Amino acid sequence: MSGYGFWVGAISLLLAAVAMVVAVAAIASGNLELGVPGGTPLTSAAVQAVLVVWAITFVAAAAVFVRIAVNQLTVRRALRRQGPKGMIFITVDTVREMAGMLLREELGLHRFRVHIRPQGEGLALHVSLYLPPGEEVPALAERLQSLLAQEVSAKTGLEVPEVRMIVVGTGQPHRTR
Amino acid sequence: MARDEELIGENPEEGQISISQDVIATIAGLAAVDVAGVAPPKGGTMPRGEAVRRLVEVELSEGRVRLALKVGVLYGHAVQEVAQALQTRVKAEVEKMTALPVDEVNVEVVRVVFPEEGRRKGRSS
Repeated sequence: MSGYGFWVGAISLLLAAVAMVVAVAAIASGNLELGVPGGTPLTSAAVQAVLVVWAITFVAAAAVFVRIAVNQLTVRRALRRQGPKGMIFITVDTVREMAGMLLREELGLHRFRVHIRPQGEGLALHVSLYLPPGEEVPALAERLQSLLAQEVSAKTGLEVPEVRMIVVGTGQPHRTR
Repeated sequence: MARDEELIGENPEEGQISISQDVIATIAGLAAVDVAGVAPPKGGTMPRGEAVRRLVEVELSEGRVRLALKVGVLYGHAVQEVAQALQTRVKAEVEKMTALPVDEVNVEVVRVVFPEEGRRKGRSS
């Protein structure tokens, strides 16, 4: 989903939260009574509590969407360069695929995810990975950081001021049959 | 206002000469696919002939041209350099063949294409 899609989602969720708050106010003032069709009317306190929980959930989800949207749009701006003959825009997927290929080909990694975040005028790359058997974290981190910072910067012309490596687990050694 | 075609010459005795957006898109597309390191933006094989116009969006306004290209780049090539080469080549080719000034060539690189993917697609097509 694009950054604009997340904005639409966030606004929809906020509108839903506002509707919940309006409903709670209406119930509190006695202008609205809710009930299950064909069943007994729900007590206003219970209904209010449910609506408040929904509203809080919607607001929290909207906040997450806003954060993602802002992040995506800021990354897009960081990936855009205006030159004398026009603009050059490199998509996030291009940078992610390039980083992934470097990690597979040069470092032999297989289980990882690359996250791209804006930082200053450039990009921060965060790599979450499973540590391959036999690898030492400090040595791998050093190789990974210098490889990604140099290669991504050289191939895209974008600054890469930060490369963070996050070890989320250890890889299993390959079994021989 | 943007138009589908642009007048590029007028001779009171022999009539007008105009050029359509599709022609400009084809010229720009053919120039683009010749640049080293350029790959198709959506997988598959590189479009050929008039199909190359799908890579290009043309905006014609007041006798000036603005172009937008969406491409992939072959892994191993510097994306920035390929994009700059595209801008130079496409601008020069369109200006040479149409005599219309090109204000901008905006390039969007949407993916990196890996060598084995290109070979696989080439075999399957």
